[in-house]
Amino acid sequence: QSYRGAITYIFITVSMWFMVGTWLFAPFLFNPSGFEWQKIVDDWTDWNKWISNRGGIGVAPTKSWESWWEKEQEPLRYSGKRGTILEILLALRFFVYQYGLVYHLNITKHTRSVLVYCFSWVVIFVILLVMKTVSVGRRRFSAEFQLVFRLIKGLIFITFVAIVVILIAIPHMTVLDIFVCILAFMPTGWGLLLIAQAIKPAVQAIGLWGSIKALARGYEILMGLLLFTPIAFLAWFPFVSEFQTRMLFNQAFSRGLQISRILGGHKKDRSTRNKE
Amino acid sequence: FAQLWNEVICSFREEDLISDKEMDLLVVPYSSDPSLKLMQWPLFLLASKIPIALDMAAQFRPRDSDLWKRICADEYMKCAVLECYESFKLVLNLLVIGENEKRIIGIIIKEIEANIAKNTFLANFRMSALPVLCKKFVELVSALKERDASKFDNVVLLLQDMLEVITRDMMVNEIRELAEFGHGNKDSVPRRQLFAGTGTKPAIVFPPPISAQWDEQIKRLYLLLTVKESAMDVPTNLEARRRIAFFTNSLFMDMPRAPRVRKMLSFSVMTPYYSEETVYSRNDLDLENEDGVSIIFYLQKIFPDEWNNFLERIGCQRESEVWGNEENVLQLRHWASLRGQTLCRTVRGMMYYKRALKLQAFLDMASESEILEGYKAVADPAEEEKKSQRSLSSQLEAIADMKFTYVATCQIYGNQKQSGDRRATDILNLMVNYPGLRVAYIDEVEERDGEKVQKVFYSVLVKALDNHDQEIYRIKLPGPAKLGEGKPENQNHAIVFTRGEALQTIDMNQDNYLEEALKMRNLLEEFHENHGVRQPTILGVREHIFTGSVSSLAWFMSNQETSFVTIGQRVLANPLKVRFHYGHPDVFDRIFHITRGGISKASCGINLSEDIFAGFNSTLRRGNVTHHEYIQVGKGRDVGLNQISLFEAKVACGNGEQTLSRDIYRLGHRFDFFRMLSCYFTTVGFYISSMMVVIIVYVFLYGRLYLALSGLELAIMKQARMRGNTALQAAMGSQSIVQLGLLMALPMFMEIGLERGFRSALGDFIIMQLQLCSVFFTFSLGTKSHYFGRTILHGGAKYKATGRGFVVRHVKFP
Repeated sequence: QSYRGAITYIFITVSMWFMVGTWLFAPFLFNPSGFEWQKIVDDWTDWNKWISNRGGIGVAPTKSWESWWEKEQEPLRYSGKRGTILEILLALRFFVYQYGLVYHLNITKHTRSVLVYCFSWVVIFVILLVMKTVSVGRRRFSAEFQLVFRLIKGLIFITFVAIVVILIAIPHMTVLDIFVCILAFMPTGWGLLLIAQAIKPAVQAIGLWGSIKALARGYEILMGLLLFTPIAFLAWFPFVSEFQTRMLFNQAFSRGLQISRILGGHKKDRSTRNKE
Repeated sequence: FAQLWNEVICSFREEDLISDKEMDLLVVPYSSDPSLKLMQWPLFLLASKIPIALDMAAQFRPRDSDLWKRICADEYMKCAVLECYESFKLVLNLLVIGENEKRIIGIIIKEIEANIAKNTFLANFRMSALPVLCKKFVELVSALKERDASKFDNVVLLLQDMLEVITRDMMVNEIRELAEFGHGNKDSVPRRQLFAGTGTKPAIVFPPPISAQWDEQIKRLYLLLTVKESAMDVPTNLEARRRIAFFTNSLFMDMPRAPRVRKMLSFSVMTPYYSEETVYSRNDLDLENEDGVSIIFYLQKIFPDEWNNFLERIGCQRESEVWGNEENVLQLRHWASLRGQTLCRTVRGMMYYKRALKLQAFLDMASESEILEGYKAVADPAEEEKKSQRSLSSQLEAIADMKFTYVATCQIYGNQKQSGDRRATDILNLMVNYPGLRVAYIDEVEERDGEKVQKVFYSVLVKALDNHDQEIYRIKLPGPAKLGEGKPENQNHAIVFTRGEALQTIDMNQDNYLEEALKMRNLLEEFHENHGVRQPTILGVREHIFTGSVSSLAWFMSNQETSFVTIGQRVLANPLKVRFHYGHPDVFDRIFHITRGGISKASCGINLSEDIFAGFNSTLRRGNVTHHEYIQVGKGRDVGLNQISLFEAKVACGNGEQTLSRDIYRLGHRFDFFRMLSCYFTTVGFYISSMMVVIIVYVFLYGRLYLALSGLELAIMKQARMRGNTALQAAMGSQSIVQLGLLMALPMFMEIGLERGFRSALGDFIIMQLQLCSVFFTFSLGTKSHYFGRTILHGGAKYKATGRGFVVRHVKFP
């Protein structure tokens, strides 16, 4: 039984979706040649390089994501104890998603027990532990015990698939449940990231800072994919690029100026001239 | 007025906004011949009037008075007809010197004017032949213009043809005197060709004697008879139209009466400069970016008509001819630099003040005959006159120098000079080209004090003397000068070199126009006008954004900025009385501010927006800030999303620092309630509200999340549906309409409506929406909120150089 009015929902949330859309995609929309396929490919390549480059002292934030990330956290370094506590309290808001969503799963429809929430935290830690093990194993067994490492990874994958199949078969978990689980666990990961950043010295003492960095990089890569996928899709069609150029330089078109030649058509003219 | 107007039109031509032909159509002939007793309008107002009048006369049948009434219905047509007739007589009088011919012409003219007086002109003259006569006359004037001696016989034939058209085709009755004269000739002297002259005495003066006045007269007459363009099409350049329209509109605004130049307040202009572009070099112009577009190529495409005017001015047909000549390359560099945001453009604009003052002083001091000779004769004096201290030219120069000083404070000019930087050479060339320009800089010298070698800092002022810079002042400073923010420190070290009672702050990316500079005398009189309880200490001046004509982002930003510097600041100054110093062209009461803390605050970080702190300081010390819109100065703004975002980040950071500053604290304590509210909403409150908009969205989302996940929403919705309650839906519906971005665009709408009409405003508004200006302003809102909140929470505001280049290319990551 649907208890939401469609019109009300549209009215309430359209401005928020609009704001999200503009904040994410305005830099592409207002960039000349923003939907040209070759330039999108170049941008994607540059972005990947930026994400992958190793940071450190002396590397500019424009060259490496790692340097940029460290620089963004710099204000936290000068916070006092009260500031740190406040940061942690603010980060706790991301855990509300998990708490709410795990009780809306199909497999937990008839359960009200607090054990469901505890179990979801167990799942999170298991996932994080598995990722940690894999990364440690990759570093240590990369040369000498390649076969054993691959067998372990294969075993983990088979186990994961088996668990999913079992969950679907017996408690009747649905695909929607998987999606909801992802929605529940993503904010929790982000919240953990923020808390770890706030208490960076302690995390470094434990020796988990590298893991936190890897987790943050993973989130950035996801966000980049989210951004570039629709941009690349739209760049596939030539009329989108032409429409954007027309929209961006409408006044120039009205005055009869040759914007397309300024926007890169000059090369063709030059090559033509050379042939002549 | 003709002198001023012609000087303005000449400056348009020097800036290549109009072509040579358009300049001829626009100028007023101020060197009028006293024998022409009538007002001479610019030719573009009189264009095409003569052909229309000819058609009207050729086909008109009823009485003289009706024809003249129809001609007089158009004031410009009447002036054109009168001027054409008087010029016609003048040309014949000067051209024909034979006695017989003069007598014949005198008889004809007397006959014409007698008939006009008796209202029988149309009865006694057949007007159908008038176009033929006009055609002959045009050929005659053309020959006079070309001054080709080999065309003497042609001129004689033309004159004979004209005489024949008049006496045979136009005159209904033959005149007895002409017949007797002909008979008399037949009886006493062998018949000879009229206008041919005898062997010893010519009948006409051809080619005519060389005279600038005569040349101008003939050219004007030729254009009057031949040009058919409508006044609506002259000039074709949009920028020239905009400037003429604003100038003429501003003459109808309330303005104090201008004093004589000798009695006006003296003033200085100061421009801080660091290491921006001064003049584009040859390499700069030709360098191509990754898309294969060079600056010169870009400028040619953006300003095609100005490029053609430039080629015409330097006498070239193609671009390759320009590059082949060193002098032309220099002209090209200046042409390009004057279309970017360069120091060259700023200096050229500010030195219009001096030019305007000299022109106005000329009108004050020159005698009647000198005025009739024209300003050009005085403005370009001969060499011996220049050396004489008593000549009018020297006096004009001296008065302008007394009233106007321009200081460009190039902070690191000394270092640039030592390292052989190209900018130093360009700055020196600017000083040579504009002798009134003064350059201030900070000199670092290592001095030996016993065993120790230490660095000593001086403030130095230099000027150009015989193609090198000559030091005027050298002031030792107590230590390093750059302790705080760079730009206000630059201003502070140089303010000691300014002179006069008023000081105008001009930034590096600003421009000025000659027609606007003529109004500076009026503006300075505002210091003596009644503006409330106290005299004004800061005169706010309007700005014109000159980079809004290419991309839609530049258009959005220029519209927003224009509405702020006009309707926004107008409301701030009166009635709110909370206007501070936002833009750079404000004119300060220099004596007031030098004795009360100066015009710039330069502490690192906190005074990032040093402009507004000058306004705070002035207001806190009982100053009065006004705003005037009859004069405007050009201003460059950013044109790419990167630049715009950086600029807005800088302004938001500066506002965050203002929130933390003691100036706002003191203003809040001393203002009355209403003024305090006005101050809040026009300074820090704007950014606090922007941040709250974003925070409220998050609060709303988290609230909805809580309702959805906790199950409360289900219960609430059930109850609402049970009772048929749709109030929420209706409320959200109306809220959505308001939220379509109207509030951000409303000031722009009002400003365009007031200046260009509300229909144009509505059209512009719709076009802006189609160009997704809502997306742009929402993105700006995010930028503002982020940087403001970050500054409040963490501090660390830094100056961000936004760059002033041309941006019509893809911005790469990162």
